Amino acid sequence: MYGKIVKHELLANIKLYGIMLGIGLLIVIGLFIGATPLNSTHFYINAAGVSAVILFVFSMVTLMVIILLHFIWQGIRYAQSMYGREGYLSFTLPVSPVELILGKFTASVILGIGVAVLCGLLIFSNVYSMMGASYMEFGTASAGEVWGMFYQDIKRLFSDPPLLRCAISFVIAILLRMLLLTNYIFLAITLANLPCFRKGNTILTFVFLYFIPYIEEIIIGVFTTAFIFINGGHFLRFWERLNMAMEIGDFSTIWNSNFYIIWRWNVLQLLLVAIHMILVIWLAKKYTTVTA
Amino acid sequence: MSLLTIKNLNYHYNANVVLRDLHLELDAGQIVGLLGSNGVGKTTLMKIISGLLTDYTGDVQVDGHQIGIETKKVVSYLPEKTYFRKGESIESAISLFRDFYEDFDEKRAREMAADLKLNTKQKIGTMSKGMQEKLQLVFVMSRRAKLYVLDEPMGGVDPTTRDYILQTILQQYAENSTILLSTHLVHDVEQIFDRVVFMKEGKVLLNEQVDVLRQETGMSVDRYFREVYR
Repeated sequence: MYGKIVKHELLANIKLYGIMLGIGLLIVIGLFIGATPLNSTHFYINAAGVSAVILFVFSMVTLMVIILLHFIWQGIRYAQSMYGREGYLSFTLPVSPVELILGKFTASVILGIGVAVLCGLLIFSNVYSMMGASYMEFGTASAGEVWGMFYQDIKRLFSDPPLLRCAISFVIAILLRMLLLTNYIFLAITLANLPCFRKGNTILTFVFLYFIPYIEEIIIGVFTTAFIFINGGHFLRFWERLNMAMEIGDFSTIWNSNFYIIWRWNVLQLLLVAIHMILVIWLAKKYTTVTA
Repeated sequence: MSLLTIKNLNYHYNANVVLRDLHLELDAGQIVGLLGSNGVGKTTLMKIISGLLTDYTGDVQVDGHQIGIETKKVVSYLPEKTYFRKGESIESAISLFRDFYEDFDEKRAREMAADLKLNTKQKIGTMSKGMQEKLQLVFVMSRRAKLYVLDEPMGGVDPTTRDYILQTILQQYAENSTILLSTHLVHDVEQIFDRVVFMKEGKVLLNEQVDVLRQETGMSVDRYFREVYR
């Protein structure tokens, strides 16, 4: 039944995400094509250069709109399908609240990964477009040559294991952040639709959406401070080592230190996701109520 | 064994007591009218039986099971409001019911949709409100459920649609299943009831067979209803 929930939730979203991903991919293709026919040493003042800059701005705006739209739409879908009229069907399906909520969350995560991949492609194609232009500064190059130079540069950059490790953990951190944001939205909507808050659900959702992360940050801050206080010597040595590495340009130590920080942040985010999910499921199970 | 057994059911939200110490037992194979004036808790009771409200106290069992996944498999619920996604087509609604309800009779649903001259590719949101209500009834009655819970199926519809709804309920009703139907249009529907349950102030005031009620009071159900709720 869990798989069926995921399937139908994905089907309910397919149209909007199809359009969104389609537009995004067209821009990505545009950026890849736009990077190759340049052959001027004055790239930034010719027509191709101007169109590349416009495409860059447009792609960045698209990226932000897609991310924003994803979260807004996921909130609307969750509220409608659980506590709007659709809730009459959702809560009478022969599935447990655990399957129902996890199914919706999984579908949201799959769509989120799709959005993240598209955003990654948009950033990657912009980097490619810009680096392609910089290669042209030294003279004309064919599309194959631009790609070859770009590939070599990327390969060289990530041949440094600490940097690669840091980059991977950073990507994981962004994906977990997306999970956590979806999680906050689900939790805020669930709390705002508890039987004791039958009116003003939308406003309450925004109130909860603001205050839950705010309160959690305070709690995490208190725990972090206490932890640093207890392990003061260890942290002092860590920051000293990092500052020293920055001064002397020891990139290996810098990336390893960042990896250390990001990795702990990832564990914390994962923990928060789990806590929120348990809370959402428990509340939905105990206080199932459709207010529409 | 009773199909529906309710003991000491209490439900309130905030300070309002909706159901208080409610007892009700219904056997299989009958059409039951759930009657009462506005605000007596009919919809709340139906929501509890269907698994939509969980924060109640007391014991509610359908077919020997506490309200949960097992009871949702055998209860087919028609709420007052339409619940399909506006952008959903009839075809995708069929796919949804097929996936989740083992007792869903797809052939019957398609036949009934064809009777309504509906194109299965049509988006539900493009239909009129009356048509959406008919379609929802088609889906609810296409299940071979043990208990049908129909909340005001004829509320706010024109007389032709009302006839269609009544006809559909009677045609699709299986002998061994029970229909619990709430309505204010007692006069129009009383001929199909085997039993009526009167509710007042969150309690069951009367639970009697229609024939016995008519014999004992010498009145029609509609007339008796008016006497009680005057």
